[in-house]
Amino acid sequence: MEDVVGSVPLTWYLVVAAALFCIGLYGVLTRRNAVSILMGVELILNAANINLVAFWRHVGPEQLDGVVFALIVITVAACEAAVGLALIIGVFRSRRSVDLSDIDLLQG
Amino acid sequence: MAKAIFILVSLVTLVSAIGVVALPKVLHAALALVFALIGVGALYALLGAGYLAVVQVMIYVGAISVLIILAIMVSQRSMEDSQLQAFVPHRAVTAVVAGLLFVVLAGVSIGAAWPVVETAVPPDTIARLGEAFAGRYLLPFEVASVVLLVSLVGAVYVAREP
Repeated sequence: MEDVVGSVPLTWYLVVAAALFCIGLYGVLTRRNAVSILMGVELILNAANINLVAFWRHVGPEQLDGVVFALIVITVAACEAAVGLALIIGVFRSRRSVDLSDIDLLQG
Repeated sequence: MAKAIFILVSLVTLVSAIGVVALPKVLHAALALVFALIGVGALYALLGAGYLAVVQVMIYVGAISVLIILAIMVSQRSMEDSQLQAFVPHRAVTAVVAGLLFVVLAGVSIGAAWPVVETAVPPDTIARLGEAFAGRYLLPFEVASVVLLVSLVGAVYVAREP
């Protein structure tokens, strides 16, 4: 089983993670709904996590640094989603909109 | 065999990710995000990180996507995102920039000489992970729990009725 699983090269995972990162980046830069931008950020964090786990698997599966790092990233992503969505709900309460071009109070 | 599974899972993940950024309705994008996150969890399982795959499904698919869908429902007036999209020239430029970045990243990933060792994942990885969190990584573990607590209290404070 391990031999079958290990036969996918590291490079393939890196290319998939790069594609996922670029798709997320495109979403963050083009969407104007705040929730959609948060979803793009989640895609970017997942791409980074794939890289961490792939390097752990192919460079040093004896050390657990990659898995621990990925777990901490997932924790921080959960915090980020909770605080971000709370901010979006708070902004929606006062402005009745989640379109980022309507949120210009600090724009000077 | 593993390569075929990998290609299938990657295709599902990437197509769902494109759906996340391209579908006009936010709720549809959120459902596509669920599929993309499940695909990433399957990639973790393919990499031999079974615990991370379970954590991915429980936290991302179980908790964060529910949170996102709830936020979409609360701010329901703007669920239609079709008018909220950036205008077309901006999107074309962004697509070109993201594509170029992908070419650079993929080129570096393929070209670099990674110090790959072909050893199998030790079977007691999950037990050692638990010991590592109780020993060497105790401080990051506790800091992460404090960050989680503080951010959730802050989220409740920010989102409550004024």
